[in-house]
Amino acid sequence: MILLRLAFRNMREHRAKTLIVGVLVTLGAFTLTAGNSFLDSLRAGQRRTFVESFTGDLIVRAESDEAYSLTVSPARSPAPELPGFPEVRERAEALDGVAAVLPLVNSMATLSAGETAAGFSMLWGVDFAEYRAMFPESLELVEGDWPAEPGAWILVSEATRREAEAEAEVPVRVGDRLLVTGMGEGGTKIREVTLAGVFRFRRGNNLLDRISLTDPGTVRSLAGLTLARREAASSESSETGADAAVAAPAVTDEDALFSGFSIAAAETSAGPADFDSILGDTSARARYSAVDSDAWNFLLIRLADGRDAGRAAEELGAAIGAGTSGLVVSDWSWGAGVQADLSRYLRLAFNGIVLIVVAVAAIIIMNTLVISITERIPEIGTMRAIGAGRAFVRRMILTETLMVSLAFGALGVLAGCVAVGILGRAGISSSNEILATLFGGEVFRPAVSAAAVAGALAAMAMVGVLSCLYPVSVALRITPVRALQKA
Amino acid sequence: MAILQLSDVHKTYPLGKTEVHAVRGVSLEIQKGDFVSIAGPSGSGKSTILNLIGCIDRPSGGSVRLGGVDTAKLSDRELTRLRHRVLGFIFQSFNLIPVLDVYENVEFPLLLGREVPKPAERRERVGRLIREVGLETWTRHKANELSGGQRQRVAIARALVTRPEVVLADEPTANLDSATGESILALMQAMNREFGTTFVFSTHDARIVDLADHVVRLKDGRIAEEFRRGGAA
Repeated sequence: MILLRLAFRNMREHRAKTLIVGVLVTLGAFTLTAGNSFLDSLRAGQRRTFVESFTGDLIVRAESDEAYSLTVSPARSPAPELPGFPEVRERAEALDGVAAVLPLVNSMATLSAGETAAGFSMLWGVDFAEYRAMFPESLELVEGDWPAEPGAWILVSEATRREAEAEAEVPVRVGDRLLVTGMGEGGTKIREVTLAGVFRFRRGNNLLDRISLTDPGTVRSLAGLTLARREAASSESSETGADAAVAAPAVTDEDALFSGFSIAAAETSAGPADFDSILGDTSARARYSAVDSDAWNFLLIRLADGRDAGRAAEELGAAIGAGTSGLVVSDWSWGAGVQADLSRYLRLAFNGIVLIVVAVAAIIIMNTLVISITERIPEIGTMRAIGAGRAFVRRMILTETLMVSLAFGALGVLAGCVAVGILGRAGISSSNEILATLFGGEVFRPAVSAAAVAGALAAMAMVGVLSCLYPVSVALRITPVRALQKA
Repeated sequence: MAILQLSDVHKTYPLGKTEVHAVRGVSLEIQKGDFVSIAGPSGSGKSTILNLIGCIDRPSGGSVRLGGVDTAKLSDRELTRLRHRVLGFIFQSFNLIPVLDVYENVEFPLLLGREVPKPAERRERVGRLIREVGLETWTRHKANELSGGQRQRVAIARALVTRPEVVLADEPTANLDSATGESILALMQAMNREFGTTFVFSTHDARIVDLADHVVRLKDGRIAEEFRRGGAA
């Protein structure tokens, strides 16, 4: 109690010192509260954008040494196939608090309306009904409709259509046949798809607009996710040698498939009269090039409101044996890829700058405290003479510094909260697509973050403690006799 | 019974490349309940002797025994406890804590020990001493609102509040006019008689020396004269 009383009275008595330290602490707390609340809101907005429209809360994917991505990342490797998909889906759906799941297969491809390709698009092969159940608010159709029948369909963004039209110099309309060209393991493959609709992502940007929705079969076909591939994989694990190679050729595109047949061998095993029947029989080709309907790259999971994503990820990981089964459970930020890194780098840069400023402020505070202690040598010496131990002096200075730090820190936090509150009410609008993705909508309304408030107060308390370490050591070196000589 | 014993005490201070001999082989015994004046001109070693007795400085040679304990063997923490438990201090410049009022200044030493008296007991002890020194109407005033004499009265109350065995007063009247100084000494004498507390004070004022029952005169760091009134030294 006496320490608090002394601290409070000294704050009032040494106004100049209190003011210098207080202003620095207030500014620090204000900057940290407002800055980190702003960044937390950006992160939350970005999370909302991706969770509600692109990634879901959790992503089950395959372990791989290669870097691959869910969203648009042209330089990365193709996504590996999800092992044991049916069981993974079953266990994910059985998890508490799962609102929806969406299996997804993806592949980079070029899109062309005519003779010329119209740049890269990230094809997302999905069941359209499941996609709409998973992301009901992600996009609005500006033309066409969701495919009602099975087939090779594609829905593209307005931006993608504009690009295709510009390249082909012909209008691209719903119902047109488009060519998608993919580079899979077996080489280049071209598939024809029908344009079912044109959409606009509600929270898109120029990178996300490159996502096109297609039926899963088209993507599997482009990515080489065929039955032959699966059979080859299972044969490799169970047997070796020529039989396995014949039973399941490793190559899957048509040209490569045909190259496996030797005309010379055919001639020896059958007469010239059988030649037509051999070439005419395409059943093997059809079988080997048929897509594997169980082949998926990702399982996206939406959780019910209020379900903790971290805990759900742990539970799901345990249920599917993540880490040992070749499966990984990631959160939305992995799916967002480089776009999620943007907010992370912003935070790093901000806190790096703040750290430098805080270090400078701590040095100023430390010098101010040393001057204050020097002025109080007789007082401290008297206390020591009449029975105050070093511990008391240490606690007294620490209490005073902490009180100033926390009082002015709270003032700074309050000012930061008010500033963020005003910004939140007014809203910040931006027509920039990248910013809109970060904002989680067209208008950004930052909100005060509890973590930012706690962080600011903790940081200011830490600054207070660190900056008084040296002044405390100065005070503890004061002997009573020296102090009394100065009185 | 000797409560204080100084045996061949020396104290030297470095001053640049030379050493200043502030105390040169002082031996002295002070009995419990004594009202002792350490007299001498400036630079004779009065304050140094008081600092050594008060355990706020260590001798360069010889020993200082307080209540039978050789203070040279005590750690800083033990010396702090000893000062708090056994000694009270009255300083020439009063040395009140500026941010505390009269009541809080007197109460302050009670809050420093390991065993802090209960609030009711603190109130009783502090209130009584404030009445004894005649400051009951000034309890909520800060030091800068008091006269020099009033400040020294607060210092006396503060020095006595822990019921120490010895009160050390370093030229307690030096910053006071003669009338106030005399009243302060009269107060100290009254406390000495009422509580049986040993008072040791330094002074170079001959009038004040006359009030002491045990006088130690110093010159150049040595005892030049020592006597007890009503008895031989």
